[in-house]
Amino acid sequence: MQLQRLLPVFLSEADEHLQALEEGVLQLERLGPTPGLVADLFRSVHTLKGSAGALGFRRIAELAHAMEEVLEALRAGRAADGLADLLLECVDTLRALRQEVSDGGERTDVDALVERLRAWEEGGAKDGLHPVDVRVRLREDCPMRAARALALLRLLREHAHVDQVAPPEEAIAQGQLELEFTARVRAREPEALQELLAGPEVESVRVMPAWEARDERWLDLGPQARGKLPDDPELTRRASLRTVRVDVERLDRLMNLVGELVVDRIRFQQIAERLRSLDRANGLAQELAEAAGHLGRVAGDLQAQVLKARMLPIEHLFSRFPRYVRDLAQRAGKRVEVVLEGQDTELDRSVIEQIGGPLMHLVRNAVDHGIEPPEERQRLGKPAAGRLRLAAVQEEEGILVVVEDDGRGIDTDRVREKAVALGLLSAEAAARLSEEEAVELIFHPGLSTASQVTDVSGRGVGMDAVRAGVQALGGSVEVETQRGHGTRFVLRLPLTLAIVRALLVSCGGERYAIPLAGVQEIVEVPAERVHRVGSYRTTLLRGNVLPLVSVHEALGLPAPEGSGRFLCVVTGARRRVGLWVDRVLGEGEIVVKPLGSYLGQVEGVSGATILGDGRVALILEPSALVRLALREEELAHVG
Amino acid sequence: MDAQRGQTQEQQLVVVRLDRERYGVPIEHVHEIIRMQEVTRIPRAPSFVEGVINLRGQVIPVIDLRRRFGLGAGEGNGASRIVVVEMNGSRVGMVVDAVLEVMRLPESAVVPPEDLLATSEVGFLRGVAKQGEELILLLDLQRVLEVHEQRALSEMQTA
Amino acid sequence: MSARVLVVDDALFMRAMIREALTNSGFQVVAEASNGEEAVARYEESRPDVVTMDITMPQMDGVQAVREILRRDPSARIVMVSAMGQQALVVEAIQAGARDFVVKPFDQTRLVEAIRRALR
Repeated sequence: MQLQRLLPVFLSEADEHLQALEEGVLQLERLGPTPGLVADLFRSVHTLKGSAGALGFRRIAELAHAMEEVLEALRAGRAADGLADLLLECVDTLRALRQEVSDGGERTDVDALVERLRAWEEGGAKDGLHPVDVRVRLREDCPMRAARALALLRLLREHAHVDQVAPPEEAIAQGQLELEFTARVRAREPEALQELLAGPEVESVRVMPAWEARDERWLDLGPQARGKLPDDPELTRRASLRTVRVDVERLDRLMNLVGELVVDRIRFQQIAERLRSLDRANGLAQELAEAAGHLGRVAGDLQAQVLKARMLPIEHLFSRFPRYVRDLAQRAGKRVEVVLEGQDTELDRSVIEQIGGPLMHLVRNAVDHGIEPPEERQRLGKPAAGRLRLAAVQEEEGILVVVEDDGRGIDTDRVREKAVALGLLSAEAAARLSEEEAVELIFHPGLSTASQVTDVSGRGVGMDAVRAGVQALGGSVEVETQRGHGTRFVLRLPLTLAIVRALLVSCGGERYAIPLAGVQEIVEVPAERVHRVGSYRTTLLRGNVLPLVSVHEALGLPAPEGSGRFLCVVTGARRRVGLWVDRVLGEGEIVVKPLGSYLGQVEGVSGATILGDGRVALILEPSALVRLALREEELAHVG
Repeated sequence: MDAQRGQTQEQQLVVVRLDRERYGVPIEHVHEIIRMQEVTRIPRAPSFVEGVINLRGQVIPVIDLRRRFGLGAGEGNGASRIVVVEMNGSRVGMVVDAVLEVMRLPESAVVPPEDLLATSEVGFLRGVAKQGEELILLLDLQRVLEVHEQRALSEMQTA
Repeated sequence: MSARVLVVDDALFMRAMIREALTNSGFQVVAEASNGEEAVARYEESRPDVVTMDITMPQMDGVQAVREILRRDPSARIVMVSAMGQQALVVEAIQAGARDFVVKPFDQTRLVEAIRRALR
């Protein structure tokens, strides 16, 4: 019972530790076993071992223990040669076990891995010197403690390199010593130091692995590495007391309640408005309006706070990529350096959850197709290792996420050829496309999958799915490319999905919300200006042909009536499309709610919201409606 | 001893009416029972999916059991209710013609549906119980709520 | 082979006591000195494995003698024999290069241990 209750806590903690481990091991591979890093790794493994042990997950605990031993050796000064791969395997295995544990029980075998860890451990130290901390405690009755301490240090020097002493020797010489002093030393046989220093005046000698022993290796790593040094423990402790873990579900529930409050606020304000128009003379209406106004501000603040609580740094997402890229690059025989920027940029967790897939695809494309093999790069005068940059920047209305590589760029000639070969457009049409338009073709559903000729990663959504995924969030994807120099994808994302500004429209008797982010303008087009071309409609808007998509048709609703027609003009990146609706009712902030797993993905609908009268309105996803309404060849034609 | 055994073999049911039949819904899956409310339709959803409603701030789907079972159109009188059940972590509302009672049913009264019935909804039943002159059809919620196509879709989403 | 010791103390009684303790433990006292200057000279002559050095002595005190001896032989092993309340001087001696110290009055095993430690 008890354990059942703790399991979710364990699982979520395990996820965090595994993530931290993976990042740490990748750093280890790049920078070597810097002390702070090894200490971090050790802490993660140790915690994992502890909680797994407590819950009876024997294999996790066993593997973690073996990893601990190996890390111990690193702490003692051993080089991490060949260890990164092994440790990454361990992380993968721990991940698998974590999953199994949540599914009912450990199944994956750890014996072989444990054996390999042991074998590595027995490989022995390289320079033969192990950094350790030696802590000596003198007996209460020890005469001349300062002199004794200095004599012991003198003795220690005979057998080890003493790098540092606390308190410093000068201070000891001046009598500033209680009973203990600690020396950081490097010794061939740290174990022997204990016996060496033992004596009648000495209460105890502890030889400890040097947690934060400084070695030269981290000194020249630059500010980034220095930032990785362990924090002031006191500060860390204080910070942790000021933070509490909150179940995501609780946050969601809170968000729901706040959403209700916002809905009520709107109703309140509406009532106050009506009341005011009814009896102007009575001050009560005015008072109610003021109270409603105040309630509105409080509800607004509350909403902002809850939204803030849902924000996570994009690091949660970015941090997966170094490992991911490493594996991809290894498989593809390439060298890729990952640069992460703006990791503290915060996004709503729902956005973070949903852009993982698209980002992964862009990154995979960059490694598989963008970045050249090292030999080729060198031939071209580029550094052998490609550079893959992932950056996040906050802008006023949202977040920009950039995925950029310095690879070969998109070959627009080949894209044109492919499009023609696949019958997406005629050779003439292809030739007429500008460079930009040709690049846009990679987002075409027909092309983006077919272009993956050398796709080592096998499965994968195409670029059309990347764009669709981002658009489903109310964002957009743009691409810039320069042949021979690289490709840059810019994803524009909303800060949060929980609340958006939307246009409220009616269609076939139902009300729908359309996120304003995708709406460029609203224009009314009389029926006579709508032209049928084959099975689709267009109109002219300021001299440009605008394809029209009927929301009714896309959603299977009854055809619109009346003559006054509104079109919301939406944009799908560089393609403008008119959405045809019955009426535009207004505009406002809506709280976005999921439709839930039971219904799954409803095409053309990204979620639902609750209106002021308590009824549910669906939120339309314009780009998906367009996909629904137009067949591919038509798209190619009008695009 | 006997009383205890009796207890372990008993189940509690919410008995609802659809058309002329009485159906039993295991009470442990029933989250609440609410009055009919206006339902927002979901485009392109399976025909038995009535739409979504606002359940105190949560948007939940509602299915029409009549259509699910291939029965005719509903009665649309004031007795209709939405039985909100919880299955596999999600809440779903089921529209029924009326909610009749909550009852205890000894397990011994349950027989496999094939023995007694040959109707279209047999696939949605896990048994039939005789209570006096009346039959109570025991719903297999798992199967009632199953939406194969949808399931596949949502899996694609997460894959 | 037993280690060879030079015993330095201005008190004859102390020298005798130290010699007895060391001899009993298998050390060989090869020379004695009653002040610092003498200690330096005896050290040069006999080149012992280890020196026991009193601190307060006439002419040249123990700390100075430590410096002198170590200047001549940086590998010299010296154990200070100090009275209570002389910590500052002992610290000085150790900073000058003495290896260990015992505090008078000491029991014999302490001294022997200190010398063994110094010899390691």
